[in-house]
Amino acid sequence: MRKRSGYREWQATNTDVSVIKAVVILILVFLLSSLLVYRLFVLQVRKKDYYVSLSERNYVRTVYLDAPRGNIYDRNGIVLAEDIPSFHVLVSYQKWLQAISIENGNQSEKEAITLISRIFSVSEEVIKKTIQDSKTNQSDVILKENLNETEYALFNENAAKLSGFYVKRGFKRFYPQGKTLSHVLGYTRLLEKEKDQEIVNQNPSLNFNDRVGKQGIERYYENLLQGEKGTILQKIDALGTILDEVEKKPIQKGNDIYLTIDITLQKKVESLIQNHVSTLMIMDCKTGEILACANNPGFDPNIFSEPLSDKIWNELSAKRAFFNIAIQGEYPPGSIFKPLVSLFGLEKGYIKMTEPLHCGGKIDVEGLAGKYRCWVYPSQHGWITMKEALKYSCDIYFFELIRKFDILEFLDFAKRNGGISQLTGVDLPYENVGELRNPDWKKKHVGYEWFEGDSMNLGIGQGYLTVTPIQMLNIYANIASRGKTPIPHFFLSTKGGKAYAKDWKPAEKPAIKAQYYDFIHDSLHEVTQSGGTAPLLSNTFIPIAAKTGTAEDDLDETGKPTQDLWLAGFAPSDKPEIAAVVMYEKSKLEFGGDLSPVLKEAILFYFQNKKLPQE
Amino acid sequence: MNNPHYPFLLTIISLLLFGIISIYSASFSMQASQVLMMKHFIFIGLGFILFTLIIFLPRDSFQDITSAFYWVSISLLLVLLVYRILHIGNESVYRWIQIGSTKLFQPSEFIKIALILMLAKVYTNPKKSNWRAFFEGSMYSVLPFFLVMLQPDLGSASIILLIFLSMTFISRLGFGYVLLSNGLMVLAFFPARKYLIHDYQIQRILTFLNPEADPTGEGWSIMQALIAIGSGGIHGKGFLQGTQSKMRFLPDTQYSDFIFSVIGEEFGLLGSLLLIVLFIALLMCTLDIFLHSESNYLKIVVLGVACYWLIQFFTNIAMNISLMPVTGIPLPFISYGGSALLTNFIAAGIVYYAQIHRKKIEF
Repeated sequence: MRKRSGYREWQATNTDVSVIKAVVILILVFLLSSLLVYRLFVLQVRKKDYYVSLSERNYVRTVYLDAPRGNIYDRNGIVLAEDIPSFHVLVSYQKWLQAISIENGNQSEKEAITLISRIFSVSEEVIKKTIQDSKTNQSDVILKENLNETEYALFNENAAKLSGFYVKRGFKRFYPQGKTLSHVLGYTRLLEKEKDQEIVNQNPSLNFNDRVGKQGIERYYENLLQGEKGTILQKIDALGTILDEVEKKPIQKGNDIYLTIDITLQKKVESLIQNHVSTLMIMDCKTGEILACANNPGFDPNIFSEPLSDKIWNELSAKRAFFNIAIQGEYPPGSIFKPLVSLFGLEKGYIKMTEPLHCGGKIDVEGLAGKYRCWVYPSQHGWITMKEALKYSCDIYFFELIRKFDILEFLDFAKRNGGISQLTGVDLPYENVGELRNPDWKKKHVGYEWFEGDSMNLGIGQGYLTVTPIQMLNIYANIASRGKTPIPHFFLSTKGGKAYAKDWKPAEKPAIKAQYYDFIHDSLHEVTQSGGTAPLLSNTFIPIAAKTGTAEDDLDETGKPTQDLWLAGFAPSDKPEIAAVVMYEKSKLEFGGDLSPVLKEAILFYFQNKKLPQE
Repeated sequence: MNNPHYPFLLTIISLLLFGIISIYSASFSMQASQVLMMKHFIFIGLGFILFTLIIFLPRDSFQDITSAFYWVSISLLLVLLVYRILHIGNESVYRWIQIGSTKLFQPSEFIKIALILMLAKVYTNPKKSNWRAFFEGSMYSVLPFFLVMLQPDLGSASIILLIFLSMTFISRLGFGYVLLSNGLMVLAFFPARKYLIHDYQIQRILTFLNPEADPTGEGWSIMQALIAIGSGGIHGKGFLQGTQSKMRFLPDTQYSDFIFSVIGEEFGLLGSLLLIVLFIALLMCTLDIFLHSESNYLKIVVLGVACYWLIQFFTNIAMNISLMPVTGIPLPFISYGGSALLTNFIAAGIVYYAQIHRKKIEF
């Protein structure tokens, strides 16, 4: 019964109602089709442009070609830095992922990394990190620069197993002079987004695969030296195979730069100071061109072409090899500061050229009996004039002289005329300014009033005063040129697509009468004569004017007092052409005059070689 | 031949031509292109032979071979289970009967049509009560469902469930039983989830919901398919001019599961509409044949086939245009793939068999 009634029920429904069910299905067909059509309309009509651009971005790839950096030459066209063709190995995360993916790839992730690590002697952690970098930056990233022949050959042999890695033509910065002039030239390294923000702001096309100047001329003239990348449009398939390519913009090499440096003189000068922590600079006092700038210790900038190990970096850092003493070192100037004191005294009428002051070997000030002594104490100079005081480097004379000054006026003069505690404006990055403190500063930071002894210390280049060697070079060049020396600089000229010119005009400063300059020239020439503090500079075929300085520096590790030795001067003393400064930091030698042979050889070398046809 | 139905035949031939052109284009930049085309033609030939054999089966003999067809398909699925248990072929999925590395066919395709026949037989058996029919129908469906899930192939398993629901709906059981089935499925889902659903399947659904989250893996396929279709615009980039397919940005299955992306890119909205119109025509022809079918059994079979085509057609295109998650469902008569193509020829044969044995026109 039950079955039959079910059957009847079914008989009734199945013939008639099933037509309705067919209609339901027909409606479904149209509903679902409309849904598809609507979606297709959205994709293919409304959002067409968006998808067209995505599809183009898929198969059209913009490839940037590295442009070589400009070369750096010395003033005679000798190469100091150049870009030479080289090969780099890069990681492409996208290709890497394809190669190791389970569905399509046939490359073992582990084997590939081990192999890469063996070929390029790069640790597996670094490789994994570079792959991650490529992922986060959505761009290919350099794993190792400047492959050698073995690496290159080994990679090509195994390339099939190393999908995701590829070798690209690029450039390597090469410094043919090695350690010579390292602080001035500086070096390049791959761009670091955080540290090189300033460079990126000026040149947004740069990325982390590009070398940028980090130090020295390389950094200062980064914009001139950096080339402009070429672009190529490539049509590629999903596997990265290049189907077609069109050049869109040619490579433009960076500007070449010619420096004021004479590399022959530079090498000579470096050889003279190589056993001391020291600097020696020679500058043309008429043009402000720096002809030689030696610093010791130094480094070989070529080390930055290889991955630099922490060990080497730490070793070099520990001995301050990257520290440019000439523009960054801050020291008390000692007696080489005296000519500036003299000029102020003469110009402001505090003293006359012939007016003697008395040196009794020591001087008593406000209960500090005997502390202010002449370096000859217990001997004494007696009544002496300024010329003699400079010649013998008498301290009492300058103590007495500066006591006469309005100290604030003198501080202002030292700043504006001497450039003390001011940037010289030399074209190197990270120049330091030294310090020159005033009474207000002392009261605030030391807690005591400025007293006469503080001024007297300044009279002999000590006290609340430090200078950089290049500031002193600038002062001596200006003394030699009667205040007409332009800003010291290394830039001579440039060749290339970008224009650059600078007149190196210094800031306006109070004038000093020519007769006072001449008097100081005479006096400093006397220093080099018999009886002066640098008699070894006498009887040369070029007359030299100079001043010695011996300044107390901080105690060394063993607690012994140390001295910074100075010798600054110019030549010829009667018709000055060049100024020179040599400084030995915390030296074991006795006093500034001991540097005479060094300065003499440097200056004479310049004049001997100047006779050769070069200008 | 009695009672020819030319629109039906013409539609199928048009779809096949459309498929040949599309596969030619999709495989154009591949090394295996020629082999692929050759195989496709061979399968079309085999399909026609099967089609012809089926339509010339004697009257009323159809129900007799249903059980055999169903159980042979089930056995093949069981063979795959054995493959899986013994780890033959060292694959992560077991969807193909294969010898060595040669893939012969996919039983999960054949079971779809076998299930339609089986359910039609059960549901139209007047001796069985509704409950009995429903119970048996469920068992006949759940068996292949689980076997396919174990391969694992969530896509085909879902199709099997949808076929079951469709057949239940169009049979005398009707919509009430469909609701009941849904309820049962929901109840069964939670205990089964742990054993049947794989993480990557969940991942697939998540990726579908948010393709940007995984632009290099599964999301990459989805994105590239969208780019291909969207960039085709109204007129398409032209035959063989698709950059997405020729430069191989589309997934490797661009000649089978993702064939619609190639069509959308090269023939644009117009080509896509033509394809959709052809499918609607096919379904309407099938419904026309249904209306004039002789027996309840044949009626339900024909309507079941219509549902089967609708499901496959919709899920495939929807997957290509990101309306549904990625599943390995081919586009009927268009996609490359022997098992699917032969299954569709069998389905077409059954429908045409119903056409030949249609009701006598009564005046």
